[in-house]
Amino acid sequence: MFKLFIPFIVIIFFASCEKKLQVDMEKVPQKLVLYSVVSQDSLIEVQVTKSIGITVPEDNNIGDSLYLPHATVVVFENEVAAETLNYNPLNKKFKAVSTRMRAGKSYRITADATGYTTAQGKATLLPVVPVNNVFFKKNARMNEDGDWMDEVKIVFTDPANADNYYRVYIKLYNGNDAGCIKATDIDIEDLNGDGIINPLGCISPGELIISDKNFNGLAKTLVLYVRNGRLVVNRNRYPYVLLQQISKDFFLFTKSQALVKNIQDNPFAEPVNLWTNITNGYGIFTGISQYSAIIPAN
Amino acid sequence: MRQYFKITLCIIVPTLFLSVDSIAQKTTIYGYVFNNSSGERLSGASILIAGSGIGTSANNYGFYSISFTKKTDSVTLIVSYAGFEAQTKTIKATAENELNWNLQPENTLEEVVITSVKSTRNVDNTQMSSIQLSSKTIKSLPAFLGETDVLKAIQLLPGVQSGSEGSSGLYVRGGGPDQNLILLDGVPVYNASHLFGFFSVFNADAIKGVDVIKGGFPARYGGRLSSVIDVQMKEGNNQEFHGEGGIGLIASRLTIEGPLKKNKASYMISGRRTYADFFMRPISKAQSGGDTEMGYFFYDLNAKVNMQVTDKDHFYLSGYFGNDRFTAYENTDNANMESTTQSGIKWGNATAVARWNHRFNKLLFANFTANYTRYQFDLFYNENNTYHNPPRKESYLQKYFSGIKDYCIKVDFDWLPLPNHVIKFGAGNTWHTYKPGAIQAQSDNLDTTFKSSFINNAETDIYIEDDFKISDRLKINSGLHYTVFSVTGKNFSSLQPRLSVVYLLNRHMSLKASFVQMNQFIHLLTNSGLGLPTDLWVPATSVVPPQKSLQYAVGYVWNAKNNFELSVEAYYKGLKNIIEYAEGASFLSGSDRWEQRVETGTGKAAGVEFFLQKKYGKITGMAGYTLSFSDRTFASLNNGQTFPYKYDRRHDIKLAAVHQVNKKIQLSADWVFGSGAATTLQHSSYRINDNQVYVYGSRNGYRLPAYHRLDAAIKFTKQKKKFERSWVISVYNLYNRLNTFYIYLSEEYNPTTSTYEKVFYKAALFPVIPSISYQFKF
Repeated sequence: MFKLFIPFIVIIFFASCEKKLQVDMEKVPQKLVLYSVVSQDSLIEVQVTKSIGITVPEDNNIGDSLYLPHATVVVFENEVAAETLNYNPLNKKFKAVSTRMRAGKSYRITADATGYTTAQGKATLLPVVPVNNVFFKKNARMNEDGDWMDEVKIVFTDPANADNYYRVYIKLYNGNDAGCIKATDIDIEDLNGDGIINPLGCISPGELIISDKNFNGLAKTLVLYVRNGRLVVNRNRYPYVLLQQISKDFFLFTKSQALVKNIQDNPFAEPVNLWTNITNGYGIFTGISQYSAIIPAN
Repeated sequence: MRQYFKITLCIIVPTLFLSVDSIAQKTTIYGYVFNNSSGERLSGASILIAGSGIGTSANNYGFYSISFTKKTDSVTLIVSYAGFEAQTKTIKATAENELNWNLQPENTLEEVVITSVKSTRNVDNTQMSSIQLSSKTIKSLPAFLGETDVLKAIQLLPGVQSGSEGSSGLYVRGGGPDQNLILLDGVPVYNASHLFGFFSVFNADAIKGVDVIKGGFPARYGGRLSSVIDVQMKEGNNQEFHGEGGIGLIASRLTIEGPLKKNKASYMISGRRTYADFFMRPISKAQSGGDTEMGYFFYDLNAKVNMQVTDKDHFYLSGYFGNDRFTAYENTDNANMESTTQSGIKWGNATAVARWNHRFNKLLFANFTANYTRYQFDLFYNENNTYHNPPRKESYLQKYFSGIKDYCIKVDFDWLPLPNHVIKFGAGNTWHTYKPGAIQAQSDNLDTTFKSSFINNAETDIYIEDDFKISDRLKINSGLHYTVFSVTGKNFSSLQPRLSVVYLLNRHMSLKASFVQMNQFIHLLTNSGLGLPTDLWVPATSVVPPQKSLQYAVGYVWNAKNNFELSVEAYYKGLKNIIEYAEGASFLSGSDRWEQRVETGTGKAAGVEFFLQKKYGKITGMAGYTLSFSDRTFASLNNGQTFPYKYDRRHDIKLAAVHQVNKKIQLSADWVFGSGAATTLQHSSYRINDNQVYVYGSRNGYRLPAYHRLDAAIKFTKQKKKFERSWVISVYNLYNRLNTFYIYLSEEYNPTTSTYEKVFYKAALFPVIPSISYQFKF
C-alpha cells in the first residue's frame, strides 16, 4: 500500500533542488561505546568501541579502527572488583575468565582508554520466569493476504510488585527463528510504526517485547500467529518458545533500536537516539534470563 | 471555575442595571447594511452617530441596532466599511427608526478624501489581534502557480507562520496547525488543504472575505487554542447575473451568481478543478509502453442560496464539496500470467449548513444553524491475476479509510437591551464521529475488516458575552464559554473566561488588552505539518487530556491620517497538554495505538507584532514584523529539558504591496523573511553490532538557514464589450532562493583522501516559478 504514495514522493524529490549545507556542528566530546548482552550463567563479554564526530572522514577500515583493544575493562560483582577482562582479537571482545552472570547479583563494568572519560554500566540478572503452558492451534485464522496462520498461545505468570519486561521468540525445531509473527495483543510494543498501512504488521525476531504494565502480578496469555506450515515437528524435535526476562534498559534499547531502523530515510520522522545505560558513553550492558518450552505442534 | 463565573456575572449584571436610567428617553435606530452593487449584507460595517462618539458595528449578517438618549429632534449617522464609500444620513429621531444602508464599492483609482468618516473599527473595537481580509485583497496578491490562495494570504500576516515551503499550514503565535479553528460559513473544515498542503480548499472566487483572530477571542468562539479563521462564502448577487472565472496553468475555475428573485433571493455556484491528470495519464501510459496509467486532480464545489422571506426572516443554505483524487492503473502480461492492478487515494471535505436569521424586534436578533461537516480519506488497491498454466484466477482487494464527521445544531442571539451593551449569547451541540482507521481485505477466500472502533461523542457549548461601553473612552468585552465534552463514558468540562478592554486615547488611537482561556478537546495526529491526507483527528482521552491555553495580550492601535493603520501587540501564551510525536513516530504511523505514539507536555510562546496597513488609494499594502519565542517541554522528550518549537522563528518580516497603476495595469509583490526553523541533527556516530548508529543533539537544537522569498505579479485588465478580461503573469520566488524544505545527511567518497565524508544537504522544493493565468468577469 505504501507504494501508492511513491509517485507523489518521487515527484517531490525530483522537483526539488539540492545544495550542500554548511552546518556549524557543536563540539561534542567523543565517548566509549560498550556493548554487552549476557545470558544467565554465561561469562561476561564486552565489546569496546568509540564514537566519532559526524564530520570526521572515514576510510574503508573505519570499522576496525573503532575498536579499542588497549582499553582496560574491569568487572565488579556486587560492587567488588572481580577481574580485569582479557581482549580476544578474534571476536574483538573483552571476556571474563571466571565471572559469570548469576541471578540476583549486581554487576558493573568500567572501561578506560586513553583520551576518553571512563565509561561504566550496571546490570542485574533477573530471575527466570517459567512458561506455564503452551497451546497450539492449526489454521486458526487468515492473514490479510488470505493465507492461513497457526496460533501459539503462551501462558506465564508475571512476578508481582515489580516492573517486568519480556522478549519472546518462536523457534523452529532446528533453532532458527520462525520468521514473521503476527499478533493483536495490546501489551506487545508496536515497533513497526506502520499502523495505517498494515495494522497487523510482521513482528521481526528479537522485536517481540512486552512490559507488564497491564498485567503486573497476573497470569498472562499471549496469542501469536505464525504462517501455516512453519511450526512442524521433525524427528521428535519440536518447535519451541523462548520467554526471556529482560531489564528495563534492554527493553528501551530494543525499542529504540527498532525505531531507529524504522525512520531510516524518512526525513519527516522525529529523530531517535538509541537508548543507553552506559554512563559517560553509549551502548548497553544487560543480562538476560530465559525459559524455553516446546510448542505441541502436530 | 465557579470564580470565573461569578466574576463575569459581577461584571455583566450590575452594568446592565447601571444603565437603566437611560432607558426612558431612548431612541433606537436599527436595520441592515448592504453592498449596493450585489445586495449582499456587510458584516462588521461601522455605524456612528455624528459628534457623539456613540457607535456600533453590524453583526455577521449586516444587522445593527444603535440606541442613544434623544437630545435633539434629528440625528446624523455615518456608516463606513473598508472598500466602500462611507455614507451619512440625517433623520428625524423618533422612538424607533428602521434604516437600511446600501454602500457603494469604492473606486480604488481615486484617493478617497472623506477622512472624517473612515472606519475607526480597528481603534474602538474591543476585539484585538484580529484582521479582516477581503476577497479583493486576497486576489490582488501574487499567486503561486497562478492559484490565489486564502490561507497563503493569511500567512502574510504578523504572528502567522507558514510552516514548510509551499505549505498552506498555519502556525499562529507559537501554536500548532491543529490549533486553528478554520470555519467556512461557520462550519469547521477539518483538513483545509489540497495536494499535500500546497493549496488550500478555499476557492478565492467563492469567498467574500476572511476574519483572522489570533487572540482576545470573544466568548462565542471555542474549541481551538490558537486562532479562528472565519471564511465567509459569497452570498450571491441579488441584483443581476454575474460571473467570473479563470484559466491557469494547473486549474480553471468558474463562479456564477445572480438573483433568484430580485432584492429577495440569490444564488452563487462556484467550481474549480485541476487538470494535471489530463497530462499525466497519456505521459505515464506512453512511458510505460501502455502498461501503466496514473493521474491526479482535485476539485472544489461551493454553492449558496439565500432568501429574504420576510423583513424579519432570512434563510441561507450553503455547502462545500471538494476532493483530491489520485488513481493508478497497471497491466502486466507475460508468459505465466496476466495481471491488472488498480489503486487510488481519495480525500476531501464536505460541509453543509442551513441558517435562519430571525429578528424578534429592534433589539433582539437570532441565528439558528444546523450544519454538517466531514473529512474522509480513502485508499484502495485491487489486483486481479489470471494464471495461464494451470489456468486459475486470483483477486485481491484492500481498502483503508479514516476520517471525522460532525453534525451540529446551535443558536446565537444578539441582544441590545441598553445603549451601552451588546450582549451575545448562545448554545450548541455537536455530535462527532471519529473514524480512526479501518482496513478491509478481500480475496478469493477472505473477506475481513480490521478496524479501530468508530468513536462517537457529543460536545455541548454555551456562551455569553457583553460588549459594554463604560464611557466614551473605555469599553470592555467580558464573557464566558462553557464546554462539556463526553467521550467513551468520560466527561470533560471547562469554563473559559474571556476579557478584552479598549481605552481610546483619542479618535485615532487606542490601547487594548485581553485575557483568554481556550480549551481544545480534539487532537490532530500529524507531525509533518504538510497537511497530509493521513492527518487524523482523535478525541481527548484520559491518557491524552484536552489541550488548554491562557493568552494575555496588550496592544496599541493608531489610525494615522485615516489612511494608515498601525498596530503593535505583545502577547504571552501558555499551553498545556499539547501533543508531540514520540521519538521515532512519523506520519506513516497512522492512528493505530495513537496514544502510545504521542507525548503530552507544555509550551510557551511570547512575542511582539508590528503591523502597518494601507487600505486606500492607488498603492495599498501591508507590512508586518514579529519577534517571537516559542518552546516546548515534555518529560519524555529531550531528557525533559525545554526545547524550541519546530516553528519557533525569532524574526519574521512580511511585506506586501499592490499598485493600481491605472485601470488596465496592476502590479503586486510580496516579500517574506523568517529566521531559520529549528531542527534536530546528528553530531556523532558509532557502531553497535556492525550497525551504524547516529547520535542526535538536543531536540531542535540547530537552525536551518533563514527563509526568504519574493513573489511578484502584473495584471493586465481590459474591458471588452460584454466582459472584463485580465491576464495575470506572476513569478513565485523571483530571485530563485533555494529555501530549505528538509535537511539530510549523505556520505560522499573523496578520491583525494580515499575517505568517505558526511555532508549535510538541504533540499529546496520550489525554485523560481513563473506562471500565467487568464481571468474574466462579466
